[in-house]
Amino acid sequence: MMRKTIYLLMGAALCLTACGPERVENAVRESAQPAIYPDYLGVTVPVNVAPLNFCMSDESVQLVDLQIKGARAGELHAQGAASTGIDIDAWHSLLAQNAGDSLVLSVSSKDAAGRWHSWQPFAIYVSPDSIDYSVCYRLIEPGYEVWSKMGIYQCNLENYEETALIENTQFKGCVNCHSFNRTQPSDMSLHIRGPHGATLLRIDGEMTAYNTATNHTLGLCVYPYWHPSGRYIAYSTNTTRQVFHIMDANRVEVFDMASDLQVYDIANNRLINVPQICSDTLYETFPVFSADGTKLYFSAAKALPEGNHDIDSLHYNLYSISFDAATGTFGDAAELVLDAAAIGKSISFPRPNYEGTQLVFTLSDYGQFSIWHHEADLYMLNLVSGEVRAMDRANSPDTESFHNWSSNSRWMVFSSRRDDGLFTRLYFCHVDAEGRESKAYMLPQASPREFYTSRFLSYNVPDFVSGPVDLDRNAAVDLIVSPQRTEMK
Amino acid sequence: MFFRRYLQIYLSVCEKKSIFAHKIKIVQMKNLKSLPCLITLLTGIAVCLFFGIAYPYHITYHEQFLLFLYDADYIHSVLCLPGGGADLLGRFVSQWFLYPWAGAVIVALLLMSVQALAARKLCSSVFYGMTLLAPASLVLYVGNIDGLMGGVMALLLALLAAAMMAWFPLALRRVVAPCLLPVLYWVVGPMAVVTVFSMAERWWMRLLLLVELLVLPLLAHQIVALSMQQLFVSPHYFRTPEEVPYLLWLAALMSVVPQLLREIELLWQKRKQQTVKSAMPDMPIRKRLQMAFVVVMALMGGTFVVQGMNPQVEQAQAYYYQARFQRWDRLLQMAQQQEPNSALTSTLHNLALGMKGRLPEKMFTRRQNGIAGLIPPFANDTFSPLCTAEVYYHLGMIHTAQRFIFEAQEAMPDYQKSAACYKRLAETNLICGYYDVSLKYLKALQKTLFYSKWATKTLALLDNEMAIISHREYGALRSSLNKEEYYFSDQELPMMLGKLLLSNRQNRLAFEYLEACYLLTGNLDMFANCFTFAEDLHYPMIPTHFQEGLIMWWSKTHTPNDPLPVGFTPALVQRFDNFVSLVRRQVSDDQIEKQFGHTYWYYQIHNQ
Repeated sequence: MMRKTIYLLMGAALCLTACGPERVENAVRESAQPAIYPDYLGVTVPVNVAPLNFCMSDESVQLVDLQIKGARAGELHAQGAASTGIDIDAWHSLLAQNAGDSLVLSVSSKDAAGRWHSWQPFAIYVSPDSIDYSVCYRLIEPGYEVWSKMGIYQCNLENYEETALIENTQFKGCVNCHSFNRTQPSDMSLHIRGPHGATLLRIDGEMTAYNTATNHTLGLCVYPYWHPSGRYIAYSTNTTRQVFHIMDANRVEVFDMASDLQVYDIANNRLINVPQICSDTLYETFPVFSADGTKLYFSAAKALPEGNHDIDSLHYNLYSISFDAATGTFGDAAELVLDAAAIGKSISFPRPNYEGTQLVFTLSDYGQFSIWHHEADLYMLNLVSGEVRAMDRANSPDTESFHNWSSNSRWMVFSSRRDDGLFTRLYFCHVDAEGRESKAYMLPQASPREFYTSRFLSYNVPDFVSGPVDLDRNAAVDLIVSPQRTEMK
Repeated sequence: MFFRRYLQIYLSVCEKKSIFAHKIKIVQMKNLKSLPCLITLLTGIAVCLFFGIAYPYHITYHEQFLLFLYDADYIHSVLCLPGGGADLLGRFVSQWFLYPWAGAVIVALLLMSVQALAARKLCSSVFYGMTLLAPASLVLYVGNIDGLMGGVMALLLALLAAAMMAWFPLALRRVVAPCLLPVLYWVVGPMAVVTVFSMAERWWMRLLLLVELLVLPLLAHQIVALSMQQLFVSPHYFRTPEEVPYLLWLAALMSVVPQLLREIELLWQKRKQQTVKSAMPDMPIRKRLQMAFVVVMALMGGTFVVQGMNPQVEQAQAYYYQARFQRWDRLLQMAQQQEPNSALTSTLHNLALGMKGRLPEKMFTRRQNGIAGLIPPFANDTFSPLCTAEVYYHLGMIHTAQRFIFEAQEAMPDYQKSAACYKRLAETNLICGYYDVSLKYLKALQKTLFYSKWATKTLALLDNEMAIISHREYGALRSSLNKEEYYFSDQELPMMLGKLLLSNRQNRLAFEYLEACYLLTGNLDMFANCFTFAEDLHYPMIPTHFQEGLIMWWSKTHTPNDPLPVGFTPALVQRFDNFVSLVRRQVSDDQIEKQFGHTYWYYQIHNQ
């Protein structure tokens, strides 16, 4: 009996030893900060962000040991092989204790030979500004003309959980152009291309499938943006063409051959044209309402002469035109806000914050398909002072493109190809009240290297959502596959 | 009507006959028992020979569009859908389809198992022969480019589940079956209906299980993003989700119907209150009937298979398989045996000729389809862009090859990925210097069975410029890359080939394709103009078809008194004179073809 008890105790002790973290012993003290993936060195994170797990950039490292100390209070220890494996509850508690201050992270790594290395500590700043519940995006292979499986997904920013809102496995088609009304999950616009083409509008949870092509417009409505009142949605209609580079890393060019702007009046089921700006000599696209809804910003370029496909000469400027929400009417003429053509550049995806103080856009060498332009970067226009500057702390040498603001206008999400030059990933950066951005951090994952290496999909059109999107997938699919469409007038 | 009459005759024969000696009966019973094994074995051999010899490249096609990863996330992604168990097993076995004979043996074993399980209670029944129609349908199903092995696995597992149900005592079975049916549905998908009808049960119980089975897809619809048709008919049995895999369901029907007929037969006998004596049928007649039925069914199955074959598709698959592994001699040998019978096979044949340096000597010995036969335009399907990508890849238009491969993979209707495409994409990204992207594909391939070794070896090339430059294939292709940027246009192939050649004047294939383009379009002025590039390629003598083109151009642009340029073969010039004389005399086309069918001149006048 005694012997049995001893054996049991020994077994239990062995199990505990085997399961516990390995002690960092005789570590070589390195003078540099660790090279980690993703690069979280010196980033600013929201107080409610999911644990920033990481691994060493050197893939031969066997084990990573992480000690986190809060500047105000608390500490946390984590260790793992594939990633640091931070406990989610302990992390959130530590962040809550240190909101508005910083965390100091001390990293040790065990190399392939079994030797420990201790790296210089680095800080992470915990902003008291919280981030929205989730980010919603499309996942798609970065392809050319043909599309495979895709869908619209939401990822809970507090715990990495990804759920599909709608996938094209239930119907033949391509889902894109999803947009929420200022991050509200109840109001959503979603465009479906293919044999079941439609624009799905979800207002206060109720869905309707629209045919947005009318006799008096160029075609289907795309690039939606909601008016702050929720009554209007601005769209553009674009006749586009696609060409492929023979050797350039930018691979694909999509360019307008004609484009116009419309605003859809939801209450009256009416498409409002903007004759003041719609002309054959101008390509207008990417309409967005200002924070107070009194202006419509958009990008526009001089149209190419017929037969001329010199895409390099297409330079989009930023314009605005006043809008009266009460009557649904526009001002007399558009106003040039930023003349990018003058410096040989092109503006796409203008996005004002919801406070009306800043507007962020993508600046590329030419055209409007900046998502494939490796030179594309984010720029910020101060709507009060008119100052324009590159968002250097958010930008990288590779593509930065589509972006959106959080509901409190303190966080930005944008897509970037900086990870491997092809597959776009999501990055977040903090923007303070003065418009200063922090270093961007990659969408956290439980095991980032494994996750991002095995994900052969690009993140498209990211948008914040302030709560879970409760979309009845089967009801949406029934609507999509049914031939019934509400015609826009 | 025919069937009822047949049953009546059969039963009356059974009743009328007297009993044979007990010993003879035992011997006959033994014969009857060994006969099914022999038939199953013969079925397997026939299937194996069919896929090994007659249809091997339909087998390799399945592997070409498969990515099986030894990875928990991948396995989970397959298993989390109804029919996922069968699908996973189907994908698992399909990995070996990279080798046609291995695939043929695997398919044969699986089809033998299906037949044996379908016939497990029918060894002494006349309906035994009908079970041969199941493997016959499955042969055509697997021989269909869209028929997935997951479907075969689903049928096999469903039959196996029915056989295993027999292990439970009846009372227990009636409790276990309804409980296990949801699990079975999740593992094999709607094919679970085969289990319901194959298991020994009363009709009311089957009806009950059938109702349960009809509810399960409705429940599954609430949790998985699949269409109702997929949940009720084909979760992933067929590559095209919106199509019904009729051949698979026919095989399922043929696995179930003989058993049901046997049950009806037994019921009939019972109703007639036959004695134990008369229940023992007359063995010789019964055996003869059974054998006759087997022969009829085997013949029907064989005819069914032969009728359903598509040799044109098989040839295209065969050519692509050889091109994929750069077995150019084998491809040319195939073309010797059988003329390329489609635009795609013509494309791959031209490529093989080009790779062996015989395009300007031999291209007009086979029927040409204009420029589209040399480099076809992009088509939104899974197969043709792969063939075209091979041409662009070997020419050195790597970005374009990459696009075509990517698009071919994207066009897979079941939204799956392909290890073969991943391999090529890893290569194209490596050649273009996009090492991070190449690394991604290589890491994925490291999780496969047959590409892992290659991937690990290729990883060493990343970021190693010297190693790439000195690599026999990648180094040559990198040196052929375009140096001038422009937009791709398949309407302007000669322009693109010209620019490619200007990027590397040593690119012999680009030169020959450029000249071939001009020959095929009859633009002899440009052909002659561009022939100056041949100087850099140091041909020992002007290749035959190029001479034919030049002689024709010369005859159109010069007088007969002008001295012939150096390099023309006098015999060929004489031959051209003969050709012109025949054409002028308006000799029949057959006669011209007989003498000059393999010349560019004949192509030219025939094309005009």
